[in-house]
Amino acid sequence: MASSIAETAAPKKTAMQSSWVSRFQRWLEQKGLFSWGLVLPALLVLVPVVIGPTLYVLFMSFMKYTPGDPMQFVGLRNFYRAFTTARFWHGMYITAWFVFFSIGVQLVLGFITALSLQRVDIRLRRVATAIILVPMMIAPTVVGVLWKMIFKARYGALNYLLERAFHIQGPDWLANNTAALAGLLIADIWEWTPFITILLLAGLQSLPREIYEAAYMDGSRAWQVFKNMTLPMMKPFIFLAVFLRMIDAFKTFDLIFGVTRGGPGDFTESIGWYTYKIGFTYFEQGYAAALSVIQLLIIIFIGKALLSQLTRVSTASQG
Amino acid sequence: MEKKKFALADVVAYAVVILVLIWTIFPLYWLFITAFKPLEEFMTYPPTFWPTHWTLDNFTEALIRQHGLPALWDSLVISLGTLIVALLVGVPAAYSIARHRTGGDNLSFTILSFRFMPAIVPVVALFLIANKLKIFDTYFLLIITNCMAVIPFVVWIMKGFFDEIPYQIEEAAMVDGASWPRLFKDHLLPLAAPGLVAVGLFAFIFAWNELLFATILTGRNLTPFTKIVPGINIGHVEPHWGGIAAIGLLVIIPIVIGSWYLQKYIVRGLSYGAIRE
Repeated sequence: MASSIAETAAPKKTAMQSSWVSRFQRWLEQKGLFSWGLVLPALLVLVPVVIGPTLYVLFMSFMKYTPGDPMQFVGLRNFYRAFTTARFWHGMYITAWFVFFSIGVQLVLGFITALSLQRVDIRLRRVATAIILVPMMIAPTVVGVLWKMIFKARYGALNYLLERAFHIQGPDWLANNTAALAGLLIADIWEWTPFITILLLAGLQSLPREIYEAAYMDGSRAWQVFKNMTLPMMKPFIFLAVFLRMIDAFKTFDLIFGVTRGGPGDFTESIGWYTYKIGFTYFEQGYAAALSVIQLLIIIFIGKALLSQLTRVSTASQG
Repeated sequence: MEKKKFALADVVAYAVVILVLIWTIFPLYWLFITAFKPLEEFMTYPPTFWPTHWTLDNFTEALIRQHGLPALWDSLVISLGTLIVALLVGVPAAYSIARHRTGGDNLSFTILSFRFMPAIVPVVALFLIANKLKIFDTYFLLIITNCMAVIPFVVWIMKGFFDEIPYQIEEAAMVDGASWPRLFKDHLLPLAAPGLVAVGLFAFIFAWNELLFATILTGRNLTPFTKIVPGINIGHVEPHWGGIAAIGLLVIIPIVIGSWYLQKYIVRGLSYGAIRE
């Protein structure tokens, strides 16, 4: 196909087109290599930075290794160690807790915000959307320190406002286990609810308006319209938002780096933060590699499960 | 009766939007005033909601005394480098996948799945390999590692943009015998330009905000700002909050301006092209 185009074009050659570039292109097209040639540079960057190191991590997960010492084969002992370590399970528990609650709260708040934004004047909607974008676009490290500042027990804004508005004596946010975890959650909600709001708002705006009008004409109540029409039609958007947020929430690292650094003690340590400490504070890099492999398997599992749900939901809603 | 109920819903909607705006803006406002407060004022109780004395000391502290300027420079070089490499290799790949269906669904989904890989997974190996190859703590290393997440993004979003450009224009040009560079420059680039700018901005922002690689794969040589922001201290332990706020404010300003432009593309960007407005 490509070569036939090249042949018909041949008689019309001009000086410019007989350059080495076009001759090379024609040669590639004749060999059927042109389209692969365009993809090749991307693969040449991605394969060494993604696939190579991932395979190497898999290899290292069977080794005992600390920089400076020789590598030593230990079989499955790193994995055994992980599964018998309380701190590992605590990290998994905190991660699961965090993923579940942050996404749950964000979904509810994001949906309410999206529904509200859809109702208000279009100019206010534009300005408001532009403003709520900011938290998720700025560096998560800055988000972290920003909230840390607000959480400060004595001079922070939050406890002062709690005291003034509700006469509540706020906790020392970062020194108390539950409060620190709640603090992480609050910062995450501030940062990522906009993500869900914006995706759901796009979804709401894509819904056919006529159906709504017909429903209201029938005298259906707002709640019924929402439950029987909006919600089912929004399903693909909700799934997409949850899918993307879940994968990112599972990886949460930046926020912990900024706000709690895993503390107090190791209480707010996610599995990612635990791996980081093992690999780059204690330098037990064989064990860290095993922890990485476990996380990779979990993310593949979550990804596959959610993706099949997502395709099921979106094909169902289209059909 | 019916009308009154609708009015109530509108009132609720406006109230929610205003509350959300206050909730969003307040922490940013706090960052802003902290950056301009003298350090002593940060430590007073009750906290002041408007600086009583405005000062630029925090900026000189963060940028000069705590080496914020070189950190910003490092972040800038890494982000621009990532932007350039990701666009140079990502855009042709996106074009090829959009036009020739190169590699079918397998290739494009494999590329996308790289974006979802937690950075913590390959980083242990990258640390070791980089040390062996003597590229640890270099711009080169950080640029190519950032590409891990950015190239998949560029490929997917640009593929969507190319899908929207009618193929007939290129076919006509090809029949006229235009070579690929000509085709690209005269026929494709003008149509794809808005998409390219948006994707480039996203790529820059990703790299600018990146933390994990910036922390682990750098040593004495490079200090991207994401790594040093939480460590701006008075002495060894107590954070210099004014300094932190000052550099925090500086690094988010360009991003806020950039995301203003990105509004139009934000939904498409966030959903990897799954939702198009």
